[in-house]
Amino acid sequence: MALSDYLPFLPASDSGYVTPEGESVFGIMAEFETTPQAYKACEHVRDAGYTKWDLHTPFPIHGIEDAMGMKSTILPRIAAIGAFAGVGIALVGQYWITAIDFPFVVQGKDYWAWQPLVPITFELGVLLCAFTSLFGMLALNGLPRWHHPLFKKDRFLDVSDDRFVICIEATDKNFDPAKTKALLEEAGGKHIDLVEA
Amino acid sequence: MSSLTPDQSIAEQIASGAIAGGGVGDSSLADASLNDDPSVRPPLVLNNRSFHEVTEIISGYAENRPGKWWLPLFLISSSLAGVCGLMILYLVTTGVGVWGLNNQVDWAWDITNFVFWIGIGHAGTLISAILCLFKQKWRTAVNRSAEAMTIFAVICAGMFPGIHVGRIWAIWYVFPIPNYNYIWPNFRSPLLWDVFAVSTYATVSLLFWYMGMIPDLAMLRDRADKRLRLNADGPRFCPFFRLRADTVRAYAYGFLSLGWRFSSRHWHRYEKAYLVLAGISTPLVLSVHSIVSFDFATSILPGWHTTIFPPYFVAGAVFGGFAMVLLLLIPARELFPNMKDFVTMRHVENMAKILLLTGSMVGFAYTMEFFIAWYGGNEFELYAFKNRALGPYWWAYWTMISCNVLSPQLFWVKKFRQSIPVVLFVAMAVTTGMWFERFVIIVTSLHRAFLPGEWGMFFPTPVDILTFVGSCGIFLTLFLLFLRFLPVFAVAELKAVMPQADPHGHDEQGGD
Amino acid sequence: MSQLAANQLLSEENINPPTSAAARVSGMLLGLGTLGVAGTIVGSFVVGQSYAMASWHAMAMAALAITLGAMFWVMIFHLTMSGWSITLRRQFENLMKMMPIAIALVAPVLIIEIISGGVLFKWMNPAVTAGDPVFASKQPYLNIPFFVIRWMIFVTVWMFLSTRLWNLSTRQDITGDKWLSNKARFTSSWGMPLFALTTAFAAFDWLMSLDYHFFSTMWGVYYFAGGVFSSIATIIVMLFFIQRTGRLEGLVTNEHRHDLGKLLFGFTVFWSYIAFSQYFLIWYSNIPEETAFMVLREQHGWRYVTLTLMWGHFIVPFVILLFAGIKRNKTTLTILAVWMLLMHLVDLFWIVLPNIHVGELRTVNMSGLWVNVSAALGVFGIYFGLLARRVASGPLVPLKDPRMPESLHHRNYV
Repeated sequence: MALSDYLPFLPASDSGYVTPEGESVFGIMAEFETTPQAYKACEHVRDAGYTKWDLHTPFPIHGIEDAMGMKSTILPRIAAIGAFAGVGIALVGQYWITAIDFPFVVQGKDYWAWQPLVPITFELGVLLCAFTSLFGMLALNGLPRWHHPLFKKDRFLDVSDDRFVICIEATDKNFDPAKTKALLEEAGGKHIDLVEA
Repeated sequence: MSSLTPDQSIAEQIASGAIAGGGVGDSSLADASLNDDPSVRPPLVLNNRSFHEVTEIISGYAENRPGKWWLPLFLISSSLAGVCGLMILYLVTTGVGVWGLNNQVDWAWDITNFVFWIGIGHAGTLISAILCLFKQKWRTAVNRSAEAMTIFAVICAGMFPGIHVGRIWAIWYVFPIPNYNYIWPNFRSPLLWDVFAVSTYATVSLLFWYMGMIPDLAMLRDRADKRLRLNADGPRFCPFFRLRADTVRAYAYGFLSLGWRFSSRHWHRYEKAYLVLAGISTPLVLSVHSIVSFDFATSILPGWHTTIFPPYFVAGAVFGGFAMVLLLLIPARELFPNMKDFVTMRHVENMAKILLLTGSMVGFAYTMEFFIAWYGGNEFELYAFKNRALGPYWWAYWTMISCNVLSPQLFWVKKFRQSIPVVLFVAMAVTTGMWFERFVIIVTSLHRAFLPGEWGMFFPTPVDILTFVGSCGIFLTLFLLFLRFLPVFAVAELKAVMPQADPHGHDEQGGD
Repeated sequence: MSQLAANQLLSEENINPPTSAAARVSGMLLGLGTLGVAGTIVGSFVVGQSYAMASWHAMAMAALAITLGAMFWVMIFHLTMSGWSITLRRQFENLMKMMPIAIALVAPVLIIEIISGGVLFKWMNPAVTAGDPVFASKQPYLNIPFFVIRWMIFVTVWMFLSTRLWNLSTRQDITGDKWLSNKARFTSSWGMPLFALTTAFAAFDWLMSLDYHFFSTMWGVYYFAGGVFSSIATIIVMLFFIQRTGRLEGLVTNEHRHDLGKLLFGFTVFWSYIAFSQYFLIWYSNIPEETAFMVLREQHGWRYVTLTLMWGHFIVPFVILLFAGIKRNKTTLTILAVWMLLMHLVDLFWIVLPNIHVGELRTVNMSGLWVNVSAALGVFGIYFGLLARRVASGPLVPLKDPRMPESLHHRNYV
């Protein structure tokens, strides 16, 4: 995720490769038709040592994390921080209002009674946890980002239907147009194509 | 290359007999999903659909013109929604006196409607969250519409406490905003907890629903985009402009889908976030209706103060919510082509079982309340319960009992669970019964409070009735718009539970 | 291919009962149990009869809760046609089959009470209730003949349900008839309402009526919630010891443990929700006949036990169980499960003991602690000792369940 991904007027990081038409290369994509094929191809690409690549699938494939050599995400921890922040804000805020700034006798309850604060404390914890998990997910994914080199490829649009596309990016240290293409062919990829940046 | 007119290829295939009718199981069943063999997981999607067919069928609902039924229904329900708007305007400009409330019964239809709608709003999150945590894969066919229903029901629910305060322009006092009067909201009041609970619930369900839709919106975007690229001409958005419908779709769905590109690295975080949201939504559902029940149970009014209220309200909410899901989905599966492949008879039967379970839980709570009212030895409490059953509102009480406790007992019989008319009838009875339950709780307790001077009766005015009917109009209008323009099923999730989705090629079906 | 793998996992040495280890453990536990019983009897003379009886009663009710909770889970697994839990279900069934033992452990105190005319159950003592108008209105329910009739009904229902579910499952081991699964499901469906009503009324009779002025509609749910989560904790501990003998390798994996951990987490939260709601509504409304129950538990040192429950039964395990790593690790999860079981015992002590402190021992009596410990050892020594024998009495998994392959492939993906 480079800053230039979001600010199109900044110069994009260049892989140094160009297409025959002279455009800068983003990567190479290959298509697969079934889930097992895509899964095996991923293991293939992983074992070849690539790191900057991705599999695009119409639905999350179970266990693909292993096949792609992905690390588990830190998202749950971010969400937990959100939850505890919500709890903290709610407790401090409510105590400050009900016990310090505006003490007021209600039903003879103690100013510092913790019991009536529980519902709102819980709700605020949940609210902030929900915000951090959704927005944290988007931020870690680098979304929203409405443009991407892959969207220019007509065949890529079928991913949302029933295709599986592996795209190896040109900025990967192992990337070499010929070798990478051969690897994807060997893995069983169809319609292998260069993706223009 | 796929056909660009959704469903046409499927229709052709079906016509030519290329798609078999059954799947596994014997032909004596209404559909193959009802197979009861414990060693076979019945299919979650019927007719051996491919991924492509699933995409075509479900996108078709949002892309094609709906059947002739849609527009009349939409006009009726949106007029009702308009009536609701007028009634609210009348109420705000005149005062709450236009309702049947009086000094003795100062909460009636307003709060009944509030609790009724918020209760219905619980099934969506329950299906998405609790069934997700319990690995019930059949939820994928119903979760999207149930979540949509949640949002719309919460909108209807949120309206009533807002308008019943009388001086609606002062409603901002419920939020802790520093102001020149140097006063703060009372954080020890259940009504304030309600504000926080309901707004949190509305927000979190909206996030949950929206997040689930991102991939499916991206699917609709890609399809519109593809049609734009492939043929230069197409149906216009409006006869007078050169703007094409697909351009509008590509931009609208494209904007909403945030540039989702189906990356596995994204899916991984997406699924984690979904699990976290499901995990926190479960206690959230419980808490919201518990807090609603605190409105009553923290008081000392006979019939309101009882400790079982929180779980009892939650069970009731789930009960009423599932009934509403059935009421919406059973007609939808008849009206939309091919929807029966996704909402199978097994789904209907499972929901019927949940109605039986939660109906019995509600019955259990009624029993406990009645028993403890007697056992507690408090004569006022006992009177409140006797008065419910035999007092002036006896008809409301017995409607509640027969609709909520007795009618779901039909579902002990398998034949009834698998019969669409019976399920529809019970779902309607339950929806009615759950409205009456809230009415019974609120009005029968209030109309005989401790002092004879607090005794009175409540009769609804036409404004009361029209506001409620109008809120149903708002609900239906929003739901019809949802059916028309958004992905009605969680397509990505549905594909993920299909047998072809298994990366190791095990031929396993169904949930675990 | 998957079928072959299954057969290997289901080999003799992997699912055979660990007979010798069980005999050793069982002997040790039964020895401890005998010591505990002796300690409790001595305690009844040294510290006080009612104190010793209350301690025993609390522990026996804790054991009963665990057994009922296990029966609930067996029924839930059948009802939801659960596939992932098949390799665990036999342990739940073993625990459920402890029903006669649990009932027998509860019985002595009830019998002594009826004979002696109410030391714990003060409503049984006419001298105490004379002239009490509140009691007069409850008398049609709280009288010894009806109490005994209800007791018999509970025993019949529980014994019938647990025996039937057990028989259906073990018969499938032999015949392999897959349709028995559907029969078990049907039994569970009508068993569930019976279970709910009997559990609730047993909780009313045997715990709530200890303070016959107190009432709470939530009480049955509260007792049930304690049982549901403590049975999960017990299963986790059982699996730990069974796997120590080298059995169930590959049958009960970290994936299953993860799910048990999630259930433990979920039902810890559920218990807290129920407990808090009950406490909170009573606290907020402040109606004398209810509040007395809570006030008592905030005074005379019981406040510390209440706080222990709040922190030890909810807040601390809640935070710890949030981490997936802890749920997936055999050792950490077992340690936590043991802790939760201890908290379950504290919960039952918290319910029962303050009742007898009224008038006799005004404060939490640390000198009586050894009686509590003896009672716990007595009840659970016997209970777990016999449970070990039960585990060793047959194969460790439901051999021919039609959904076995699913459980073998079970994985949590997210």
